[in-house]
Amino acid sequence: MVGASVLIGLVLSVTPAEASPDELRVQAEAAFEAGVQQVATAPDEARQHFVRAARLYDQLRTQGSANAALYCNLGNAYFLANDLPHAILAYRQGLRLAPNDHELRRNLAYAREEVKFPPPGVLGRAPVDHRPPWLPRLPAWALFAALALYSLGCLAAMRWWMVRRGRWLLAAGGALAGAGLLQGALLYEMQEDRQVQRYPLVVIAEDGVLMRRGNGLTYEARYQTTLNRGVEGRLLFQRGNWVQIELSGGEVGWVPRQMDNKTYVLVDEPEPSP
Amino acid sequence: MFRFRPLIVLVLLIGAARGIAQGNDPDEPPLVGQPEDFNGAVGGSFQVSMRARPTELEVGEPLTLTIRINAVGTWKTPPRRPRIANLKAFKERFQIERIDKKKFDQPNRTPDRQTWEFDYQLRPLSESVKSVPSVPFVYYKPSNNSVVPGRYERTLADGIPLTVKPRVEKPAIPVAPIQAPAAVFQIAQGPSVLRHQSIARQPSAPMFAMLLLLPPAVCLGIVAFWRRLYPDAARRVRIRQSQAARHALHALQALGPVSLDQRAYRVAHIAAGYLQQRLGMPGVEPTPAEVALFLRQRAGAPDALAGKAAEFFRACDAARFAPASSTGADELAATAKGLILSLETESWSAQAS
Repeated sequence: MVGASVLIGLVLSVTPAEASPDELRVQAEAAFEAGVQQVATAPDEARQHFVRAARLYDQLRTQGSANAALYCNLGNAYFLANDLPHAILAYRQGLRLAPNDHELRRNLAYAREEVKFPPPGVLGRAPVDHRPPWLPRLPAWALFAALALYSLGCLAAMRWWMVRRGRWLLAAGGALAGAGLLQGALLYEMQEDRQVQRYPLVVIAEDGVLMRRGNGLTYEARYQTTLNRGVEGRLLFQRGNWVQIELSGGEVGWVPRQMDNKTYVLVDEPEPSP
Repeated sequence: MFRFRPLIVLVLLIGAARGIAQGNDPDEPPLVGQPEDFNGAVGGSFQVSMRARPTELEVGEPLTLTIRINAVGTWKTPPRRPRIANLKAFKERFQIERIDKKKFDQPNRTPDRQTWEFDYQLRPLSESVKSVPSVPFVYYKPSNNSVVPGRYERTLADGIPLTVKPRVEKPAIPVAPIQAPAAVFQIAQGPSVLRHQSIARQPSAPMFAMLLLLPPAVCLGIVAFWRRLYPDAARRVRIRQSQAARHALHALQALGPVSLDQRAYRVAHIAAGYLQQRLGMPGVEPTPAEVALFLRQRAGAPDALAGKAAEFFRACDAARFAPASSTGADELAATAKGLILSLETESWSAQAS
């Protein structure tokens, strides 16, 4: 056991600081694979491999990589390393980029099943996504498509002005209506994204966290029910080392972000630019 | 006078001794004769007690010892944390751990103004430990009398019997297996995980306004250029604005292969229908004179145009009723077309419509 720990320590310490993204990716994949190989025989060592894989994937993220596949890998590595809060955060970050990604949705559902919600009541229950799964999320190029349709509509209207043929008027109407619809949908989605950026996602990282009335331990608890690791919410306000959060049911309270070298709340920081 | 000299000397000596020992403050504990285990507490009287939990444990298991110091009456300096780690009886029997390292001297609790409680975590070193030893507590009791000095008082907290059992080696806790759906054990591989995918961002308001205005501006420019290149085309476009004219022109083009009189009748009918729809002329089959009068008086057309229209209808009548001496059917259709275009292009026509 001691030998294994030393070996894992050595493995963890050999990650080069200046490794290229591709090297990091290869190392992460190798660590994950090593973990999978040891799941049945040595779960403890397997978890250490998954921790290492998660760290490497996170390093890739901080270097500018950001896509649904990376976040899914990151979430899986954290999930298998028994780090439920980080796993949920990674899946949610991935879904922000690709809201219709089937794997991310499914794995997030698995992770949410592992969250221990203290009875009674519904405090801290996972938020319900009201967006129908069949409704596609508009891709990044949708804005250009809307502009192209708008331009085509203008050109068709111009042609109708020249020749007064009814078909050109129809074409102009159709193109402009399409552009309007697309732009409307884009504005709606961008409004949602703006809300997400304004009130970032938070995930409780420890069991038994009390929501208090103020930003200090001297304030009394707002709810007697404690929150466990994996509970999701939104960050409303930050004061010092305390954050005011809102849960899916609208419950608002203060929790410490970090205290006594312990992290109580994970906050979804915006992804770095490449 | 000499009878009192020894008494005076004695009083002076006592005063000098007190001055040396206490400085200026009579409540200050004197350094002379201060016990090594003096706690620092100054007050009338203190009581010390202890409690431990649990009192039955195995070797190496932790127990929490609480020393409770209670001041009876007034006190000047509160007690400091008793240094039990310096006591031989404790060092030999327990491993002593600090619970709160930051405020070590401070009490863990002060239930009231007269009481202080200090916590310690102890681990018995062997099963031969039978009790928590008694803890001495030394405080300074100032004197109420200015002549008699204060003194150091010593009190003891009673020991607590313990039952320490030999350590039983517990079986190692089995490592929890990793349980997860098969999908979680799969990851995406390859360079695709290095991509940077961003969320669609809305352009800024000025940029958005520019993108919105650019296509119409370009189109207007094209239209202006086109009108400059093809001025006649613009005129034709204006003609098309009249739905009645469009229908009439279309009908004239669609005339089938019929006899001359039939053709002349249809051409006249189309032209009369146009005048009815476009200018509101009454009558289904107007005479040339009625047409000329209507155009001149009701529609305000120039005399030349009104005369041209009357001439056209006269020619139609001639083709219908005297085909031999009349103009050709194709010529009639062309004349009707010209008449309609002339009516559409005239400025009065737009006012009339």
